[in-house]
Amino acid sequence: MSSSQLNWAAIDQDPRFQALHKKKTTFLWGLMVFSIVYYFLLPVGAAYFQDLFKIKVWGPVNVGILFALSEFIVAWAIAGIYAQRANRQYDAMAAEIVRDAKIIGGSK
Amino acid sequence: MDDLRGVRRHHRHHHVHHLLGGQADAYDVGVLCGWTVVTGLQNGWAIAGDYLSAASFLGIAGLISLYGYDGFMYSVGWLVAYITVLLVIAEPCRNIGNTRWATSSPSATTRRRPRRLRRCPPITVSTFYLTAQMVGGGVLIKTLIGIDYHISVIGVAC
Repeated sequence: MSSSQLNWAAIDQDPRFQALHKKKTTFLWGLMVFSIVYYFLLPVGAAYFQDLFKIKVWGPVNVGILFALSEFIVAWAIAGIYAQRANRQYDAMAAEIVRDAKIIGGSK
Repeated sequence: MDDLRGVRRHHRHHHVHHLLGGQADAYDVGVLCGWTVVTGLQNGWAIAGDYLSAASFLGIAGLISLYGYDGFMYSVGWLVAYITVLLVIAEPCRNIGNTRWATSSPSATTRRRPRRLRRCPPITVSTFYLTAQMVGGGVLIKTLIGIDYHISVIGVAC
C-alpha cells in the first residue's frame, strides 16, 4: 500500500488524530517551557540571589554548584519522562490510527 | 541478536506517516545503504560522545579554569539546547521517519553512485573537525598538566 492511496485529509480530521496531536503539543511545549524556566533560574539566581547561592552545604560546595548540577538531573529526567510518555501513550494512540488508516474516509 | 532487538524496538517507535511511507520497508529490514540500523542505545552513546567532544573542542575546561562558576554555567547551557533538540526537532522528525542524511532521498536505496557520494561530505568534515579537536585537546592537556606537546596530542588522539 502506497501512501498516496490514503485519504490524508480524513485522517487529519479524525478526532483521534486531533486528540493525539493536541495532547502531544501541549505536553511537549509544557516540558519545553519548564526546562527553559529552570535553566534561566541559574543565571538569575547567580546574579540576584547570591545570598542563597552562597550558602555552603559541604566543604567548598555551595547551593549554587548544587543547583547547577541539578540541571543535569532535570535534563535526564525530562528525557526519561518524554521517552516513557511517547512509548506508552502516544505510540499506542498512533498505532490505533495506523491500524484504521485504510478505513478512515475510505481510499481515494 | 542485539541488532534484531534494535530493529524490533525501532519498529514499535514508527509513527503514522512513517508506517505508511514507501521507504518504511527497507528501513525495517535494517539494511539501508549497506548500513545496519543504529539502536537507541548506540545512538545515545554517539550523542554523549558528541557532547563530550564538542565541549572539549570549544574549551569548556578552559572556561571553567579561567572563569570558575561563570564558565560552568556555559557548560550547563548545553543541556537546555539538547532538550530543545529533543522536544522541538527530534520529535517531529520521528513522525517523518527519515532521520538520517543518507536516507533523505529515494535514490539512496537504489543507486550506488549517489549513495557513495553521500558518504563524502560527512567524512571530509569529520576529518578536519577531528584534527582541530585533537590539537585543541592536546594544547589544553599540555597547559593544564605541563607535559610535552607531542605526548599530549598523541594521548588525546588515543
